[in-house]
Amino acid sequence: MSRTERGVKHKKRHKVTRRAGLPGESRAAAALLLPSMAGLGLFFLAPFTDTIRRSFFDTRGQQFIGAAGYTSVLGNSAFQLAAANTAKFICVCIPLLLVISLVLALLVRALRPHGGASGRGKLFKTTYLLPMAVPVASMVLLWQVLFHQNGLVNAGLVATGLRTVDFMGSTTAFWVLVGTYVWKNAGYNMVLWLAGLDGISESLYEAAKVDGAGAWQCFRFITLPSLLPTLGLTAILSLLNSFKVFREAYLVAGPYPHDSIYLLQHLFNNWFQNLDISRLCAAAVMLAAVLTCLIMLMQRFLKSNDD
Amino acid sequence: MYIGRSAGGAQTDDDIIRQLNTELVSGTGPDVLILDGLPIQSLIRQGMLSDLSGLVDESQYYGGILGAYAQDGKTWAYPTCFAANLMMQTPGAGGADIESIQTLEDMRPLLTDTASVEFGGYLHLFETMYTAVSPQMFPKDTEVNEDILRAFLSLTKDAVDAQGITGTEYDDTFGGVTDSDEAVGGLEIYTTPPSLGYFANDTMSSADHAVASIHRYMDVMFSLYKPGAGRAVIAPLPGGVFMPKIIAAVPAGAANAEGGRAFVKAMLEGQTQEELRNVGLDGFAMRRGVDAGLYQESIGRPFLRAAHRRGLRVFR
Repeated sequence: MSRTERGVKHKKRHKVTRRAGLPGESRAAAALLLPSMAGLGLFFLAPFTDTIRRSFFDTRGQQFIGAAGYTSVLGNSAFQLAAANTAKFICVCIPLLLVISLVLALLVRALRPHGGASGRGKLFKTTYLLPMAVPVASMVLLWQVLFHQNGLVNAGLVATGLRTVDFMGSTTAFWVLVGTYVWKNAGYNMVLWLAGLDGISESLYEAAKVDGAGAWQCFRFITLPSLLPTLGLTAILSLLNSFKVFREAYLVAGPYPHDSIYLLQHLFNNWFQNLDISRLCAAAVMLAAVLTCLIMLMQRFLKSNDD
Repeated sequence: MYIGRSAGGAQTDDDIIRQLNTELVSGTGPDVLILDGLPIQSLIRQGMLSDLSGLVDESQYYGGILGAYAQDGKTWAYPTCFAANLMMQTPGAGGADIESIQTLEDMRPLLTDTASVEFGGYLHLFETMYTAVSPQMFPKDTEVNEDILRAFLSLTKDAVDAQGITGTEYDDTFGGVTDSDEAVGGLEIYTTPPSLGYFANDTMSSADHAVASIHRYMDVMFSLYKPGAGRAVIAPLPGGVFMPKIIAAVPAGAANAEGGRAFVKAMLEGQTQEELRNVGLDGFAMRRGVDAGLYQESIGRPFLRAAHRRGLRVFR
């Protein structure tokens, strides 16, 4: 046997006797992710699985009722109102928030020439982030001081000779909620957009300027397409944050607010108070399914644009 | 296990109900539930309560009230006392004679006359007058009689306009407490019997406490009484509604269901019904004859003789 043949045989022996399994790096990653996955399983997947199970059983979880909970939910007028309001709120708020926060990000960035930090830019950035730090209870108090029947806004309207507005007892409540949501979350989204803008290479803009592109053309053909991944992330986070506005609405207007701001969370809260667990679980499962489909569609759209 | 709120705590009623519901759904709830303030019909519909049929001899109790939570031949809860809405009017106060009032509409002259009665706010007005129409407004649990609802809202709106009511009794943000207990023109409407304990002290017996609720009316009359004007009149609010209170039930699947049933039964026994007076029960006993018996026993008591001599006529 030649030396080469002996070497190949040796190599093959080593190859055959090498231990099968994950490479060392992957094993380390799995070990580090395990606590997080365990928490996810314990505090999310297990309860969600139980929710799906309970949606097919009665409140005590002992008698199988099939799809009765689902049909009851779909035919329930309160659910229809809450779902319509929630959909309307999302369709109005998310685009508005994305546009406003993008504009703020562009303006703040414009105060930072050549990508460097400036005092004014930092000041504006911090100011727009402050609403996120305001506690919900403070927000509610502010809301009441401003929008109560005897509040500051109505006092101003009366002073200018106008009639008072019942902000929380009329359809105006919806726009108060939208304004609060946008005000509270614009700063957070602005930071996300800023991160996306910082990731766009300056050389693209320089090359475009050499070719004679104006500011609008740079924005339309360089900035916007480059921000698509950020758009996906920001939109998803905005969608999830939109459900948190229930806290302010509940603390100001209670479990049964004006029809225009009666959201799905109000309905879930009231059903839990009445121990209507099977309907609650059925509605929660349907909501989760709709949100999952929405997010998957969004990701598919963004992926197709990437390609 | 006790799920409730200690005095001065920051918990709201919703927090307590949420905690209780969590315990019930997880199967670790209490063995006895007092259902006042809870969504009783929803609990019955969800099958969360045990059947208590046959627990007591119902002939010994006011059947119309005791069976308030009986459905489909089963009894899901027993009220251990009840309240009755009463009107009391000083003689010569003017306005309609309350003994002739049969419907809520008959009360219109009184409700729209601030010389007769005063309400502190929307909530006070609603809570006072709602029981006068609730049986007709909700003939079945899931239906509302819109005609009755419209008539009720129309009457209460007229009362609001006539009395110049502009809000609830107390506004958390802007203050403004209105004392809703003042009787301006001599008409008092009690949505629950006045609280016991007016004469409360360590030497009081159950009998004394039992009739203290009746003589609380006299406390009001002392402030309204005009010598020589005649005796005050007490009449039931239209609607004939008796309100069950301290409604006891045993949750389905309770760990100690037998102990729970025994507790509910004990609350309805004669001696317990009498002793409940000692703890300031805001209502009348469910068991027949308990209140009447204690009242008869009290007649001979010295400090009440003067009150009885005034000829108070009491609703029973």
